[in-house]
Amino acid sequence: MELSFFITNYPYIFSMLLFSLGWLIIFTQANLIKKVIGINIMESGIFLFFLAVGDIAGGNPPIYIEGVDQVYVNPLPSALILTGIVVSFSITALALSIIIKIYQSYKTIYMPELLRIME
Amino acid sequence: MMVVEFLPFALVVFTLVGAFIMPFFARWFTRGCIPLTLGVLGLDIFMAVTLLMGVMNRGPVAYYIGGWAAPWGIEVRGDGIAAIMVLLISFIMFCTMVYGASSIEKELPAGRGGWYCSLLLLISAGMMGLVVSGDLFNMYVMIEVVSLSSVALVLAKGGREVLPAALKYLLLATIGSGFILFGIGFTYILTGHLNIGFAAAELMASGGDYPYLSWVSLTFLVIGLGVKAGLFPLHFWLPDAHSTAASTSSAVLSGLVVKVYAVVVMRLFFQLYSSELLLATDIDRILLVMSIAAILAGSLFALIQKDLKRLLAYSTVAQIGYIFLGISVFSILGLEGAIFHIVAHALMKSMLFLAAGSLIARAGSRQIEDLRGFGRVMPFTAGIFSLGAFSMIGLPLLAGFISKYLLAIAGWDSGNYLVLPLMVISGLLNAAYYLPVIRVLFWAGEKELPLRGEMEFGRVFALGALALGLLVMGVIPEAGRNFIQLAASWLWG
Amino acid sequence: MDDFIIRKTFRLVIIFLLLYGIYIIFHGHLSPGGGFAGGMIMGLGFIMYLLVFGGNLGRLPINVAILLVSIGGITEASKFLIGKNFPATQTPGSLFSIGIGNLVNLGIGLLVAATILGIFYLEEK
Repeated sequence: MELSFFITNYPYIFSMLLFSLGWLIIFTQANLIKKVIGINIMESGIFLFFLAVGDIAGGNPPIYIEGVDQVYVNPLPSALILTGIVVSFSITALALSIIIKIYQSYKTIYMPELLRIME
Repeated sequence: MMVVEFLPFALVVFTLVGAFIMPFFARWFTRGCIPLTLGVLGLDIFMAVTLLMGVMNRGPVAYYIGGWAAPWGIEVRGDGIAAIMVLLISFIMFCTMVYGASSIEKELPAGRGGWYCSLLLLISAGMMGLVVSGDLFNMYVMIEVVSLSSVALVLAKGGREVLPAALKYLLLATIGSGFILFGIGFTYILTGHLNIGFAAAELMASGGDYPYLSWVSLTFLVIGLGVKAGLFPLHFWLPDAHSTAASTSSAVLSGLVVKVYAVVVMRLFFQLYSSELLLATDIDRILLVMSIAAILAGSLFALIQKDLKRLLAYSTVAQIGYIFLGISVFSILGLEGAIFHIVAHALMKSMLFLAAGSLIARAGSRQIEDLRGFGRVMPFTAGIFSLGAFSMIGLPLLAGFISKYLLAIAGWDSGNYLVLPLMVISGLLNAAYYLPVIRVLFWAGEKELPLRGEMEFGRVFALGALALGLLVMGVIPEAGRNFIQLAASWLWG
Repeated sequence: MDDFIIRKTFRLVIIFLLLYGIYIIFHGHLSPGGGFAGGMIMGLGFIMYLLVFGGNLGRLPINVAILLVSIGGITEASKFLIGKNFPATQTPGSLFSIGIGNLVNLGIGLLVAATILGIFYLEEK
């Protein structure tokens, strides 16, 4: 493991860090809204990973132009991530609406207090 | 013939269109919702039977969406396991819906019936899409469809106790799908393909060159799917979510949803990764330990439950262990046992949850002690409950016995001699927590009981149909075993 | 929000907002954007409508959302009706060069718009 390994692979390392940070937040934070933020951080890590997979240094957006010969980045991972973003959006919307309902019926969004009320 | 190839895909699309039309009916023709759902699911059963017959006669079929061939297009596979699972899903969904025709209006808040039908169709379409999918990313999309709609199924009951359970389920399911997506990404890096067949060929050619990358991808996929399927150390969302939901939701979630992830694990293990690659990682040992722990811990947790639905949910944790046990012994017989147990457990657990739903609706409480004597009030429903419980324990002539027998034999054949005593011990443990429930149901003691009377005809009919399926699977196991044997051998490759 | 300026401005803007959404939906195969992005813009147009004229609309928004979901779902499923190689090989680069794909994009757009509208309406209520 040399320094150059970290420098050339930095998107992967950052994506792993973001992913781990995300689920660490989900497991350790007591505030439910922060847990949802954790979900989004985790998903961003995955998106970064996929974009790094498809990227080519100096590549252009994969839009075909008549008569121009150029290097394109791999469009497939970006297309997958588009779906991933939609899914992440739906999960966030669903989680936030559940949290609103929890606040309306329990008057708290802190996990320990919630557990205490549920007992 | 062209029709059979098209069927696995047509099933998914047809159910999905049904789910999309349903909001329109829910708003303006509320009466039409339940008949429409039943019609869609009935046609699904018909198509699934046609598919099963066609596949068994002609061998596995594949359909490419839009006519684009495999590496670019999305492949839809109609092999043995897909056909069996599609039939199972549509049958159990149909029975649940027949039951729900009379229970939905009572269990859910007013005006939610039509939307609930839409959700049920959506989750069936998602599960069918998941089992027929031959493309990794399509699998991910279908997994998300299934997990979001199952969270919504938990939420549908309303009231404040479902909210924390649903949020917990949603958070853990999201972490699980994050792991799955990462695993798919690693597989894509390694192979350059998302189609399972092409990725498998590429892994076979080059997988040995990058052992760590393939191990990492396998680990991520197994952790993600393990969270979703509720495999033992990752199961802690399951009892809350499955016990607080409405009884029809619980039947679907516990009977089907956790199983389709096990089917995905089978597909990944036996169709994506080669067995040399898997055995080099010791994943079989790890899964074996996890599933034994699941069987023992699930049963022990179930022993101390006072709440009937929580007991059934912990029993699901244990039964998931059986399915993964069958996968982890790595033999064709073990696979057969796992598939048989998927079918048998789907039948008995949905039956148990629906019967428990009837009993709970009559008694007005989920505590086992409050159900004392209700076997006298509702003899048929309680009888069905006992039948399911006996099958869980593994008494002969019932489907639960056959799957345990197959698993024990498979374990013995592959040199895991522990599996046979484990089956006996877990059978005894199952007896230790199911028999007291049956005793409480039928021996009333001095308690004042309400008037004798069953629930509506729809509920009784659905329970009867499920029980018939269970008896057929148990008394003449060859009827289903031929299909399952073929499916297992195709999956093994 | 009963404000003269907002109402007058909104009446001018809303047409262009929805038109822009439809433009993006139909140009999904030629330029960045497509069903999801265009549907999002259309949905935001609906949300603006709710914000400006909200309060006295009753169940109209949810009815619109339900209709859009049903129509969009059926439109979107129409892509499964055709068999072989559905982006038909007409002149590449023209607006209707992908055959039924335009219809599919429209379906996705309607579904997304309906979802955004539904989420906002339910939270608003």
